[in-house]
Amino acid sequence: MSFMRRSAGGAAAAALAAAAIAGCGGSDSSSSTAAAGAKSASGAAAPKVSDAQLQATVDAALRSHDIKASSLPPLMRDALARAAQTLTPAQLDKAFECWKATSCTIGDGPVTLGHADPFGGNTWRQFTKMNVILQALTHREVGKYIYTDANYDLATYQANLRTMIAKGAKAIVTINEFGQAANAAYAAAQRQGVKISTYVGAMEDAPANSYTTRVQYDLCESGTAMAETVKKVTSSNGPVAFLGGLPAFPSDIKMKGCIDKAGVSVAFSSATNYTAAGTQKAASALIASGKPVKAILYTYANTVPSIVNAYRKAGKDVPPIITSTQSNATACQREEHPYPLYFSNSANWAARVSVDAAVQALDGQTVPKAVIFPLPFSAATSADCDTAKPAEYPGQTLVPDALADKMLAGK
Amino acid sequence: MSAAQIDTNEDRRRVTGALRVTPTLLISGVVLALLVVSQLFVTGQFFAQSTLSTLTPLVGILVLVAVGQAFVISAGGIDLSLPSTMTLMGAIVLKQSEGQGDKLLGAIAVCAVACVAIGLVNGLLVERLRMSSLVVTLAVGQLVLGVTQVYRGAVPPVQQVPGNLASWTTADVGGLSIILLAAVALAALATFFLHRVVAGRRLVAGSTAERAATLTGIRAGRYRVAAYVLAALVYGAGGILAAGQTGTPDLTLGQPYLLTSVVAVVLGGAALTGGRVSPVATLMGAIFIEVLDFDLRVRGLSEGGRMIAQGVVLVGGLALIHAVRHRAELSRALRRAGA
Repeated sequence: MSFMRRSAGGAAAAALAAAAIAGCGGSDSSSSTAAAGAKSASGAAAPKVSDAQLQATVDAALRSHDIKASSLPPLMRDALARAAQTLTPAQLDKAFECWKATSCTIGDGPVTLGHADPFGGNTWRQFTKMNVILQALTHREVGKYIYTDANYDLATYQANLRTMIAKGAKAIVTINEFGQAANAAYAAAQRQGVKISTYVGAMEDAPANSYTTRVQYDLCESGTAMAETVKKVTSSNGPVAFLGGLPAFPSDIKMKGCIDKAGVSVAFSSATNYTAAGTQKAASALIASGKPVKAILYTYANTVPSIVNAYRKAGKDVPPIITSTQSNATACQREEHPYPLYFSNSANWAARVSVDAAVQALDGQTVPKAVIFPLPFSAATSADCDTAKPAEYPGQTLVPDALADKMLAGK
Repeated sequence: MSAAQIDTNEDRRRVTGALRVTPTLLISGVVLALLVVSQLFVTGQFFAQSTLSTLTPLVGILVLVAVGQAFVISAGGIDLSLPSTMTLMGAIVLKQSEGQGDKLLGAIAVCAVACVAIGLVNGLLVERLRMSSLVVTLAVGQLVLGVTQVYRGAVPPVQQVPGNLASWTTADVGGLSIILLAAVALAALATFFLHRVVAGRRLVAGSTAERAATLTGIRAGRYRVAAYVLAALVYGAGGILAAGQTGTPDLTLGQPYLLTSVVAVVLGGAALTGGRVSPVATLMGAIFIEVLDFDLRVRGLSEGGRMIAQGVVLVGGLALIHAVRHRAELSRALRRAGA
């Protein structure tokens, strides 16, 4: 039975939905998207946005003009269509209120949506949180939102999951950064009827019973894309340096393997632990090794300035850097002393797809087990540097500008 | 025994005393050997500006915080609030300075007050209430981290340190980072303080032999509390410099320095049960850790391989230091076994 029919606050929910739809930008009926007014592949009624609006949202989300909306997985396309909706000022205020809190009432729906974050202490996480809230606002069946931050502690993370479930969360979105250690907790939650949907983290080796839908980029495709970018930028097959995050991180190992398969040789690799100090150590060792790398491949844009600083300190030219995610500080540093820099999108919006998957699964709809999205790399430009934004700002996040400004104002 | 024999024995003692192998001498020799190995077998450019300029800032920060940790270890404690304290400093520098150079001094003053408060809480709980330093500093560390997160806010509006701090902390002299030079100066100052200044010698007495110090009229408890405060102030200095070095300090600022600071102190010959510490030996221990890690990275060892290599070297080093410390007992035991 649909949660929309059971909802006691149906009138309020309907008003919310009407406001959401009314707030849409004007659509040209001659170019209305095929999804408008029709059922999406997942069975739910897709929001009405024009083809142009949807494509613009896809372009912003993926940081690319080369990927057609029609080529994306249906659930992802629908989620981005929801993201393309213009929200009312009241909804934006509600979103900001929820973002500042650890739990809030979003609407009158019966569903409690949980968001279990392994670590909430940086700008990427906070914009991801806002993406989840904004997406939840487009689902009238969602009544409450709960957010937890485990500060990278596994035991705390598992306890947070249990607490959320005890508080009635039936749909939980999360990013798995604990690997196999977290899968048992997910499986236990799923056995209690909770729909777990993960975003961004590599879950292809997780047991099928530990999640409902995983939303992630294709690691191998991403590695191949990095390799192709190397070939394009350097007109060679390397050698390159590969800097990963956590030591022996499975995603990094897989990515490196695919880079190698794509014909680009990796002459130096090191882990950075995603910290500035770790990145500086890795860069320092790379420089001292004397290995003539043609490019540096990395998986976290925020600490790229440490690589650049190391090269500048050493009096050496900065080689092309191709990195996953995006960072304002990195882009602005490049403005001062240009060098070839390639970003991917920061994928904050991936959590939106997870929200849709979890909520729709709870509603009894069929959702795919995996939503795999592309992660293209594109050259950094001056437009990527916004001196009015803080250093960690992750680029286009699909959060409305007015709301982003409020978040960044530190209020 | 004839007078000539007595003279010969005294001469022998004078000579062997001059050549007495201490942990400081031992670790210094090992570091020297490692530097030679680095230059000859790891990278021929170890002493080039390109290497020193990127390696020495990290060494400098570790030296600083390790010297701070040494104060606590000398009192028989251990300070697990080090990473949180450093991270809080980064947050204070950002928020209080608002990214402006003219507000940096004010931010540093706030940092100092925070460090004193953290040190006092640690010291009083450990020394006055006789609580375990491991538990106290772990709890205080959690508290400080929580305060940092609330104070910093979900998305700090200012995320870059003032330009003057960034410039100063990234400066170098002939490739040697200003941070390392400052850390060396601190280690020298700490050595002078502990050996030549009355307060410092009382600190040593209160740390190494609390009961005896108390019986001689030294307020050992106060000096032991002071050790925690001094340590926190040094971590604070390390945190401010690390923030400047990074440029955009985040919640992971202090993360890499906890265990390495303890290892540096122990490599410098200190016992975790308390006792005399040598800031200079601690400095050498810190250099050893960073240079070893650097060499293993340059050689391309995986993280697992590096950890194995570091573990083997550390265990070997600690065994050697233990042997040096207890060489008299060991030689007696060997003689008995031989007999």
